[in-house]
Amino acid sequence: MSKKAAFITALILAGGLFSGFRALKQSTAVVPCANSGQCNATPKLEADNSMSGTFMGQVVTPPSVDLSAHAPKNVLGEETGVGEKHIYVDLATQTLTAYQGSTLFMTATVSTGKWNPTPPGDYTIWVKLRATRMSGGEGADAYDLPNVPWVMFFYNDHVSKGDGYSLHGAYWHDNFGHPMSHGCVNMRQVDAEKLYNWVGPEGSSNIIYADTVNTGTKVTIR
Amino acid sequence: MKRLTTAAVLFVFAGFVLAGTSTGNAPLAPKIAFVAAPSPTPSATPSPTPAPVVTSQESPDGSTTATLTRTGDVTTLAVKNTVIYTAHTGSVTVLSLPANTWSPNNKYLFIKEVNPVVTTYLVMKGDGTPFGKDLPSLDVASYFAANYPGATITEVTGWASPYLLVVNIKNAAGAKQSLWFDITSHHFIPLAEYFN
Repeated sequence: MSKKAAFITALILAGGLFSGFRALKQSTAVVPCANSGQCNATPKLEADNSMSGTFMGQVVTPPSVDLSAHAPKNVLGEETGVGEKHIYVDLATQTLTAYQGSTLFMTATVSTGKWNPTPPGDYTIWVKLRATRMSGGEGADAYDLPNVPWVMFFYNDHVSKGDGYSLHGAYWHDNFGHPMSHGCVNMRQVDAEKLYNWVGPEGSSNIIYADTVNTGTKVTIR
Repeated sequence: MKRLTTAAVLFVFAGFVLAGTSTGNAPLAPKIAFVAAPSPTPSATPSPTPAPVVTSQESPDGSTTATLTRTGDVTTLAVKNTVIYTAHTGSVTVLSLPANTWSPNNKYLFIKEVNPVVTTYLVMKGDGTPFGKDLPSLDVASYFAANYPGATITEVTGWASPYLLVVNIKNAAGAKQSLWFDITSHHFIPLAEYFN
């Protein structure tokens, strides 16, 4: 092989190695936990009506949650059309749309990640909880929020279940349409409740895990 | 004979005269100038009442609703069908109800007022009670102008907490900046980050 050919071959190989390394690095990039207080913890169904919450140094009053009284409005989920259910979150416009097949179920303004960006990707909901506690942040953006309502945790190959990303109701702010979270998708409580009662996995319990039969709804975040 | 000839000539002559003055077969009509009867003085008819323009915003927890209704030059703000604010806005001032009007605790709400001179945001209590004596609402732009000369509010986007409004501004140097407006103290709190 001439020197020139060898040089060109080496350049090509170097370029290929660089691209491969870069792709590998992106695919294994560590995603921070959405709620550092519950990082890698099993989601816990929890409601404490005696506690106040704090968000950005402000005291907030959580909604009262009665776990014994809750029953989903539609035990089997609300059917609005034919086909698979799918949720789309648009990070640029801070909007959520939900479809069943080609039939629109709902649209809503949301608040995605500000202090930690909400990672784009294609996800599946793996568990729903009527309410749970979320805490994390640090310094000025620290928070400790009991009774976070209508929680739908999602995951994929790059964002694990333990990272704790979810769609859920948010009672501590009303600035929807603008990023306000630590990675989760915040929704108005009425919107989160409506979505929660529609998505899979379906059921009447206050905590519902998806399985191969009772599958979780897909979520696409772009 | 002579008399008959004279009568015949007179008869023919009369016939020519009549023919010259008649118009077709129509009988002769007297020349009367018809004067149109004067029109009745039009009474002042009221302009039709414009259809009201209504916008509503449900609170994030769905427990209450604010409704802004504009009928002509009058705008009212109602909470659960109780009017808490009325403004005679004229035709150049427009009030609107932002999507994030409700505070997270449902106790406060804000409306946007736009006129050719200034845009401001008025904060009100959801039950219609005043903030203080002669203080039915908080005019965010007034407080802002007193504290940030040379700067402009670009948008009040919503509530960061039950008592803090997110106020995005362009500061005196022209840079984007976010503040909180504390409705309890009427003070602005500069933020380290911009809330886009």
